[in-house]
Amino acid sequence: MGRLLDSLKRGFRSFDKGMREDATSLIRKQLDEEESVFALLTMGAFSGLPSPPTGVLLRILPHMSREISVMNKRSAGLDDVFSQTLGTFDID
Amino acid sequence: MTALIVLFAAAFYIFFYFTYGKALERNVVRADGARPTPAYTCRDNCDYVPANKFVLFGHHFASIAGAGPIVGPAIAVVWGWLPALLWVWFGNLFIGSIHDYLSLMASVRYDGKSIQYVSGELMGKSSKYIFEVYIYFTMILIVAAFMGTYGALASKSPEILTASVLFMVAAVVEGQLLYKTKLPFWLSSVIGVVLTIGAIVVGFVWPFIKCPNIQLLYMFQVIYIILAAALPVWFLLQPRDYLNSYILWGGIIIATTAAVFAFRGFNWPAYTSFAARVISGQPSPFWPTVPLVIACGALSGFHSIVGSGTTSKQLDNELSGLFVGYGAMFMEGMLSTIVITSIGAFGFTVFQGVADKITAAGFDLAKMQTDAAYFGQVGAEVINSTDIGIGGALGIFTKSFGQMLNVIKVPVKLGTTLGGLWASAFVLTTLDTTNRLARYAFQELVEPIKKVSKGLHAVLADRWVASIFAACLGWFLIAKGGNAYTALWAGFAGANQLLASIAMLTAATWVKKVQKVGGGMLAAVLIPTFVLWTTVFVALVWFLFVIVPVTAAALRVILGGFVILMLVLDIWLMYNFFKSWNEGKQNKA
Repeated sequence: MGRLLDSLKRGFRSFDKGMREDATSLIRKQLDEEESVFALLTMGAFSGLPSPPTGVLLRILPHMSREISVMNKRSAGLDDVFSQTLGTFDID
Repeated sequence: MTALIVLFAAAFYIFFYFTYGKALERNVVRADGARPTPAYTCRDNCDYVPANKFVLFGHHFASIAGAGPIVGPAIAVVWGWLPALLWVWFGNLFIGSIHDYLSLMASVRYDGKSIQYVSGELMGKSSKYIFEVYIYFTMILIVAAFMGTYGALASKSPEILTASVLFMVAAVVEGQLLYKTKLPFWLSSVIGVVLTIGAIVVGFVWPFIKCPNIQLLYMFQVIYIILAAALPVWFLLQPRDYLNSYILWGGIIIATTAAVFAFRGFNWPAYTSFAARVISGQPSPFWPTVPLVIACGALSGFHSIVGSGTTSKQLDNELSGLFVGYGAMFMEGMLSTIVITSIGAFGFTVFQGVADKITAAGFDLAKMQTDAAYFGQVGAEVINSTDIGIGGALGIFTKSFGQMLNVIKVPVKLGTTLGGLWASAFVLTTLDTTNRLARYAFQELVEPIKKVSKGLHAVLADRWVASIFAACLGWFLIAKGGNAYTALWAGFAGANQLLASIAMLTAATWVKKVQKVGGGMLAAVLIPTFVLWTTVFVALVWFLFVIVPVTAAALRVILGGFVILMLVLDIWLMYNFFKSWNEGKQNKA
């Protein structure tokens, strides 16, 4: 009986998690965009933008390893975004 | 009979999941639980993030299960319920589920890249471009075909029109609750579900929105999809998709329960005729035209894009791939099985409800019941006749669904409205997301024009121009096509199945060249690939010579042009496939 209740609880938790995912998956794309804007603001000097000043960039650089690696991967996959967009929207 | 079919289907899918599916996992994909997936190797906590396999299954299934698995089987039953059911089961088992699973796993092995990218890597860059052209044409045809199916249903059913408009309002309210208030998630969800139920009940009790003019409905749909595609996603699209998932799961649970407890024999003919008049009133031979009718329940090319677009980036373990990719496709087969079961058992009850109109339209209802061949000749005409008013393929499904729910004491009209909202919510969702995506695809396709003329490119790539172009082209096809949604549906399904055949060719190349699989297991991938390619190719040639000439003059040039272009690209793709089979690149994956 206890085991059955545990499985039911687990099942309900998965359902709840899935529903939360369903309710927010599309606006996660917004987070994507905001991260790109953040990267541009903080690492613009790498692409020739004069903001922020190079000195500031160098000081924050040690804290930016995750962002650099994520942006690197994203820019490598920029020619392959369509299917991700299509997968994000429900279409069938 | 209803219980027998549903239980047999469940047993069929479970049996083959644990035998055939596991063999594919072991011998073709060689899934390794210890090999890290892109969700870990490329983790960014945004696109690449490991998800619990049950959560991912739900999400993937909700993404692939739309109106497709409902509409296709509801058109195909004119051949009889048995051929439709057999194609759903065996097409799903031998082609659809392999297609979905291999696309997902090939993408996983290529760092979560899309199946177009993988096809470009394995079969040359032109394959990737061909893929994108297909996607665009498929989307235009989806807009046209879905506008037609919804128009046929809503013009005949104020209940469903009212419920689906109110559902949109409920979705906007839900969006505000979820994102603009600080209400707990569970409370917003409860309010959203109550509003959805309210939309169904109001539609049933007080169907105050009526629009018998189908052309006017098309125009409203065009305005709606252009506006909806321009609104922020949190405002309508996201909350509506979220509420849709409740309708989907609720609908499946209620329908399965009703089917199991209905204990009703089938009154629909098991088999009518090999060449029943299914598409545009023309004799349509079951082979090769069945994939032009049943798309998503048995196989859909879009699944490969969804699987390789988002799901592959969230798979937590290679061993979860079978459950998510293969299992979700089986679940979709179950959904189509339920659709066929409800029509098979209650379709004639629906006809009896409009017996006088059927007789007035010049059809013989008694003969339809006793003479299967006669039914094969007139069945589609009866279902689609505006004078009889069944409401087309969606109409026969929703009305049969209402009758089936009556078995568990749900009033017929309420059940019909629920079924109608289930189907129409997915149709409308698909319509506006397709229009949004067609806009993106169009912008991507006109990119090369930038080098020739920046001004022209700026005009074509403008978001309003790109959005209005896709919507209006779809509108033109259905409005000028004389409401012939079955022809447009066949065109959409054909393009969709060609997409699937490209994905299968890609998967077969991957299996042979990268996975180095040989013998029987290679045949298990190659045979369905060639069967599918040949079937869809021959079907589209048939479509070009039989259906296109009988469509309205305005439609002939565009639809014929689409089909010819697809056929040419398909041959080109096959050339790429054979060229790369022995000498293509070997990939790191």
